[in-house]
Amino acid sequence: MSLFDDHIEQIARYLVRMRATGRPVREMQAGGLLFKVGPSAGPGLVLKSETFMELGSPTVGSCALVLLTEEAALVRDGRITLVGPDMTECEPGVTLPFGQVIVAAGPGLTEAHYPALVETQYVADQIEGFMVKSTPGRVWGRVSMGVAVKGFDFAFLGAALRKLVMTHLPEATAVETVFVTSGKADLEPLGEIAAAAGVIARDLKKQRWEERGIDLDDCAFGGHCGSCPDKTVCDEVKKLAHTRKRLAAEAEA
Amino acid sequence: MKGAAGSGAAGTGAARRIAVVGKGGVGKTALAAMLARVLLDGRSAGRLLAIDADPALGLVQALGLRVEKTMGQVRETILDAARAGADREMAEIAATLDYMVLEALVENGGLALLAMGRSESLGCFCAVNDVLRDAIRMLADRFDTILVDGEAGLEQLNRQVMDELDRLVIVTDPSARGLQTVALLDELVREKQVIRCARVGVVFNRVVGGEDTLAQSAAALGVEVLGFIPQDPVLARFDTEGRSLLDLPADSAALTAVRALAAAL
Repeated sequence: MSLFDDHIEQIARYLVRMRATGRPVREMQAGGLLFKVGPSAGPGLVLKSETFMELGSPTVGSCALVLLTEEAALVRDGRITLVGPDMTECEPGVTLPFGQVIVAAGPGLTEAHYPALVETQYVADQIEGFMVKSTPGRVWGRVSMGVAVKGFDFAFLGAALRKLVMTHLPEATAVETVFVTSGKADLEPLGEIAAAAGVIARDLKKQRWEERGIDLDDCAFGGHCGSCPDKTVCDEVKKLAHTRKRLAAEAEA
Repeated sequence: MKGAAGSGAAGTGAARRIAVVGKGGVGKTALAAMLARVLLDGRSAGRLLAIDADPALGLVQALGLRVEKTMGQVRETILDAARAGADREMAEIAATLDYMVLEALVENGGLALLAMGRSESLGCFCAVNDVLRDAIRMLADRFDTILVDGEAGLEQLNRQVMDELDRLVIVTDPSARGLQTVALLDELVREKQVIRCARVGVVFNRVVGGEDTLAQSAAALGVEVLGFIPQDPVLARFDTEGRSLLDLPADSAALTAVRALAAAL
């Protein structure tokens, strides 16, 4: 039993509910990669004027999470589940809310692999024609006109993410993805699952840092850690300012 | 697409970077806005990124745009996270920064604009400036031409926006005080090397004759003359009415002169 097994089952129940409420839910299987995937394959930046469709921009909402397990039975390798319209069914210029779930399984996958899996969400510049900007819990994507007209869709995106996960995390033997484009309200249950998984992830992180002798609750990196060559000069000037303040205070007293 | 315009700074293979600077009130922002218009019209600029380094967002207004988020606000967000001792991995912070920079990017047709705005937090925070400047560079690297309205001055430009330029356009009116500022800025670049720059030149703005005399004055300073922008009542009316300079008539005298300037850059 892995730490995230319950969350993976919650995702499965979420999809059952989506089907029951009449949302269009379809399953696809990852196939060949129509576009380039890997380092420097992506554009880094797709401007609005070059965008076919936008996914999960800050105005429409987004939810992203990753989960892992040792239980191979919980994940069907290559399965891509889409709730809502596919890219090929949308008009150019549309912006859709976006949910993205990546679930990886493998007999050797442990909690120690979770940070590496999280990092696969930040795969900007690794999928041709697809710009990704991420912040924890959110993914903002833009699909370029250039790849949209050549058939870029969620079946490809799922296959591309699967490849990236398996490249970054060789211990993963099965990867499946879930995409949600049906509406902002449909992202809320995903957000709740993500929040619960996030609590576990934070505990794992705290534990990792404690093993390195650092208590995350005490450590703030707000101090000046820069490498400015003038730092010593600035420090002296700060001392001068401090002295002036002290003298002024003494004079007032 | 990338690299379609300009030669880029020596050795970097990056985009063409132009900054417009000068004494307050000489028309830097109007010139930067007209340059943006000309570069967009000519389609020779490729992907164009305008950076408004004026805390008062003058270029944003001159281009008739609206910004929801500035780099100053991004800076505040980073500082808040740092003060709170946010428990984030560096990879997350780096990714979030790109997300926030894209949020701050205003896009209108072929024009993309990043507004520096102002930061509420006093203090140097060099480390934050370094991180932000790096994020701006990463974004700017995706463009072919970067045009900076450098209201904040050369030192702030270096610290907060970019440390290397291909063209520095010093704008001045025909006054003697304006020329003194030109001399000072030129010295800051050439001798003090406040910012690395391949080519520095002066543009005389609101000129009503006497170009030869002005050119002689510039020559005496050893500064290349990039162009003369005439006093233009149409431009003045647009400024007064707060209209976007992207809508200036194509035959406006100032715009025509800026077209020649852009060709010389």
